Amino acid sequence: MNSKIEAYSIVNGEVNSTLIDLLAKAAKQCLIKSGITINDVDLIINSSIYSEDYISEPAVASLVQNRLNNGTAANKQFSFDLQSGGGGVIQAMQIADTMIKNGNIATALLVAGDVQPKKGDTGEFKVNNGAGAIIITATEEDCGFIKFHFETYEEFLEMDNRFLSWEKSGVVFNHQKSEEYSPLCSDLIIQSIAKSGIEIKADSMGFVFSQFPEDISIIASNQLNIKVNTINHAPLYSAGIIQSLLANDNKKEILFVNAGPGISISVAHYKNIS
Amino acid sequence: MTYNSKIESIGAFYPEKSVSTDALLSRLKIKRKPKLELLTGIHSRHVCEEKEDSLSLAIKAAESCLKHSKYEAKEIEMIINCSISRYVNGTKYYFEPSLSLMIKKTLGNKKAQVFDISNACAGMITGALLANSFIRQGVVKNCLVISGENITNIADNAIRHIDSTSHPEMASLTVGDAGAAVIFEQAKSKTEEIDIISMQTLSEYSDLCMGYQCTDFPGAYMCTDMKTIHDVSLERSPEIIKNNLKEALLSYSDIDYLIPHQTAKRSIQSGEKIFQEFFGASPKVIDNLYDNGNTASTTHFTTLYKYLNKGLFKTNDRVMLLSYASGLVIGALIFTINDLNKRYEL
Repeated sequence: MNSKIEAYSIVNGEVNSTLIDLLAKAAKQCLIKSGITINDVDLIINSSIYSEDYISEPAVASLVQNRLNNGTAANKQFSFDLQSGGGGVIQAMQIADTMIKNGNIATALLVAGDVQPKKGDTGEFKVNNGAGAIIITATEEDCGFIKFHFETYEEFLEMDNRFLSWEKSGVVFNHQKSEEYSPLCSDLIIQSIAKSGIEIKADSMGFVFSQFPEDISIIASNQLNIKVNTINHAPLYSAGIIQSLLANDNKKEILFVNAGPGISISVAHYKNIS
Repeated sequence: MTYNSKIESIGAFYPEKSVSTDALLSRLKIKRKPKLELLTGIHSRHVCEEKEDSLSLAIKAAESCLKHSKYEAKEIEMIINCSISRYVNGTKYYFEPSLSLMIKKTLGNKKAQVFDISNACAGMITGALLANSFIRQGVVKNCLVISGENITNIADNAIRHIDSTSHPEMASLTVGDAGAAVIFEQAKSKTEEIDIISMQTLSEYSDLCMGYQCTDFPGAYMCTDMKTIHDVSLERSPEIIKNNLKEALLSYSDIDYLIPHQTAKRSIQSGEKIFQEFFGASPKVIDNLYDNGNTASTTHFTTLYKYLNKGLFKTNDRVMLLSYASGLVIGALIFTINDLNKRYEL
């Protein structure tokens, strides 16, 4: 049993978009593209990070599930949130792949997106509003996820921190980032791919990089001597991997790569249907 | 032959500071105080001191878990943090990096794959489900599922907002702080594997309990439609649990101990009655509310830890952890104690 990407979608948000609206919209588009109905979805994983209202519970995935089922009872469905930074989508892919291979589920819907926080003082912190969705299904075809590899470099834990603090004036969004963070991420991507044992095939691989840190795909692709097609839209954070897939999905194999705070590097090797 | 995982070790930690229900209610600005202790069975709850937070509770719970485990911290292959609260350095609420990575660093582990999940009070059972899936598939041999819940700030914020006994933040007064940690590992035989971990989200009720980070004061606030969430949970769960038992080739009479999500004594008692009428049998139902309150995602494992240390469980006892959480999530983890009790001998 393998698991394959059945369809994916991206939606760009407006200034007043809410996270749930964007996730549901991306998910609906993805369901239409795949020809799969919401009743066929066993598992929904949301890996968004930033919402307009700093929601903590329930899982945002359950609210998306409710929207997709139009507020009615679903067949046996399960949903939860993954909070693994920008690498959440690759982590969600591994969870879906593992549960499909185990026979726990047949179809997973992964959603991810971000909306600019609107509560308190957000200072210089800006995210582009947008969301993406991916449907992963069980398949007997010779395709799908071949390998996942995750590395963490916790000696650089302090290099990019995003948190809320409460001051006399109220809640403040803090983003503390070192200037060395982006180039270091690129070096660690090279190291992590080498550790994964995945062979880089410059001609036959599509390279799907996260959109952040800024220009990471350009810096890393120069170091790896590979070509990464860039996109012409405002880069998304949590859904950046799905956004990048748009421009790089037409090769025999795909290498998904994310770098995020931690520093955490996530890599997935995927084989397209030949 | 591949098996489900087994529970190898459980640890828990409560902050030393304790606040009584009477002391909490004395801060309410309303004249007619609710009979909270009578309704919930909660006499007191543990509360974090200034220097304690979600991360420190999780670390203490991990240390407790490792103390009873054959594994050293460096041997753990996966860490899944499952807390709702994400407070570090006191009241700083962290989005990134993940708390699981901070736990990995603090424990001195170099090899574990780490990630955070969030599924309200079903967080740790969701983590258990994922750990079981990864172990069964051979991705990892063991997994630390962990949570530190520094949630009593929702009670502090509720006290500021509550203006009547029907206020939607009333349920926030029942919570307590705690950490819990569990190590799952490969089972070597059918007899020692977990019987089933099954979860379902009834999303049509997803807006019955909503929590957000506060704008003005540190921490979060939570609004709950207590009556509806209680009624729906008890109405829907017997059929869901019946299906879980059927899938595991078990009957309700095979269960020796039931640990439900720890909300309130009266809720647990009415659930026990409904289950008894539905299934025609009744395991011993355990509550841990008196001096701990509702500790969110950690409730099942803190309760297990307490009663393992009291020597309650025998080797052949089968335990059901019954999960109710915002979402609305209903599910169960059913397992046999096996040799777990031997590591907690008095």
